Amino acid sequence: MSIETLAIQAAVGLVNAMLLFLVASGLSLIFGVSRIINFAHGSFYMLGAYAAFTLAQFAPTHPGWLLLAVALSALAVAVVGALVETSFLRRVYASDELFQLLATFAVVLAVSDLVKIVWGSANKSLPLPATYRQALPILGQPFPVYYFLLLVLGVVVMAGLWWLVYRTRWGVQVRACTDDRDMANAIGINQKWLTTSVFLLGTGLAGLGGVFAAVMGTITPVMDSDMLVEAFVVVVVGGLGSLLGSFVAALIVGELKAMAILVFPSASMVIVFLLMAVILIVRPWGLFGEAEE
Amino acid sequence: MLDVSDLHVYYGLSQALFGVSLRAERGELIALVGRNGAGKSTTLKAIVGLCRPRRGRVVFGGRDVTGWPPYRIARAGIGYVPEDRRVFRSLTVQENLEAARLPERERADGWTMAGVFELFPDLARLRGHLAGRLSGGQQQMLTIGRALMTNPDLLLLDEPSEGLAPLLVQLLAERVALMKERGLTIVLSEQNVEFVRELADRVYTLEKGEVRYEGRMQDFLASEEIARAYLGV
Repeated sequence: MSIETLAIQAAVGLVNAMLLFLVASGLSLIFGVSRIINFAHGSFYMLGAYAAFTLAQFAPTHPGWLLLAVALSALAVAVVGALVETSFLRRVYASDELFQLLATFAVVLAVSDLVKIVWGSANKSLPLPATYRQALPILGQPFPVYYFLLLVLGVVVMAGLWWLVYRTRWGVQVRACTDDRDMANAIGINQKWLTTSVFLLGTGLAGLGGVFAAVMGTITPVMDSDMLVEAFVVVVVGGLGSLLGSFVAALIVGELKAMAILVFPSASMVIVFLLMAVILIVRPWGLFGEAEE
Repeated sequence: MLDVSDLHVYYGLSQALFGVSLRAERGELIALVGRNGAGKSTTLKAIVGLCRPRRGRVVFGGRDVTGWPPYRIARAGIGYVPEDRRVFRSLTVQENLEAARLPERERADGWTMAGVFELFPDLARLRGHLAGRLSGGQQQMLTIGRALMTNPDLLLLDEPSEGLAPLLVQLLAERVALMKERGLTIVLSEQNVEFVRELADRVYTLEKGEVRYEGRMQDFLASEEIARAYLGV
C-alpha cells in the first residue's frame, strides 16, 4: 500500500468525518435541551438527500444552482424538523423514555414510507454539474472537485455552529439548559421556544449532512437507519451533549472507517463498534461528557 | 408582596407540606427555619414553580402565580438560589450570569454584571473560569449573582450558608445585608438561626411540613424556649 493511497483514504475519511459531525452535532444539541433520544434524526438526514435530488433536477448542469439547492434543502428540512417538534414531539417531553422512543420511532416509520411513496424504492443519485466532477491531481491521484467543495462548506458551517453555540446569548442559554433544565427554567429561560430553535438548527444540520451524502454517493430509502447508527456511535463516544466531543469522535470514527476499509474491507463497521464498546467500558460518559453525579 | 396560603405538596404518595402559609412585605427579610426535611426547600420550590402544590395558592405582587411555569415566575420578579449550588457547570462564570440576564426586567438602577462583580469581587477575577471548577463558596456567590441578574423584586435563598467556612458565612451575611439595603425582599431558609438572627425581620419555623411559629425576630429570640430549640445546636 503506497503512501498516496493512504493520503487519499485519509482525505475521504475527513469528508466522511465532517458529514458525521454535521449529523451527530444536531443529534447531540437536540438531546442536550430536550433529553429526547431522537431516532427520527436519521430521517431528517434522508429527507435532506431527497430534497436535494428533487431541487437539483431544475438545473442539473448549473454549478451555482447546486449550491443553492444544497442551502434550500437544508433549510426545508430545518422547517420540517421544527414543525414535527412543535406539533408532535413537544407533547412527549414529560413522558417516560419508552414513550419518547416510540414517538420518535413513529416519525422514522412515517418518513420512511413517505419517501418510498414520493420518490420510490429505487436508489437515486444526484446529477452533478461537470465542474464538480473534474478531478484534481493530489499526490498524483485524481481527487474530485466536489470533495473540496464539501470540505470548504463543511468548515464554514462548523465555524458558524461554533460561533452560535459558544459566542451568542442563544448558545449560552442552550448550554445552560443542557447543564440543568430546571435551573435554566428558574432563571427565566423559556425552554419551549429554545427547544424549537434547537430542533430547527439540529434537523437543518442533519438535512445538510444528507445533502452532502447525496453529493458523495447514492440516495437510498434506507440511508436513514445507516446514518442514525453511526451518528449515535459518534455522540456516545464523544459524550452526549458535548459539541467538542462529537467533533473529535466524528474524526476518529470517520478516519477509522476509512483506514479499516484498506485493511479489513468487510469489517470496517465492526471496528467502529468495537471502539464504542471499549469507550463505553472505560468512560461510560464518553470522551468529553461529564460523569453524572 | 408575597402571600403564600395553605400549600399542600406531595412527592409521589408522600406528603411534604401540610398547609404552609407565609407572607413577606416589601423590603422584609423573612427567615424560614427548620431541620433537614422540615419542608423549607419544598416551600421555596413551590413558590418558584419547580414543584406544583396540590392545594394552596402563591400570590406575588397581587397576581396569583400558582401553577405558572418557573420561567414566567422568574420573569414576574422572583429570583431563586437553590440549595446545593446548582451552577451551570460547563459554562464560565460570566456565561452563568449572562444566561440569567432578562432584558425585559433590566432597569436603570437594577443589577448588572458589573454590579454583581462589585458585590462579589472574586467572581470578577474568575469570570473566565468554568463554574464547575469553582470552590463551594465561589459557586454559592455565583448562584446568588445569577439570581440577581434577573433583577428580582423577591429573592429566595435556600440554605445559603450550608457547608461554607465560618469566614465565608460572615462575608455572605454582609452581602445579604447589602442586598436588603438595596430594597430587595428576601426569604431565606436556614437550619440554624445564628446566620439570620441579625438579618431577619420575621421568622417562620417549619416542622414536618407545617408552620410551628411565626413572629418577629426579637420576639422569637426573647422566647427562650422556642429559640433554644433552633439556636446553635
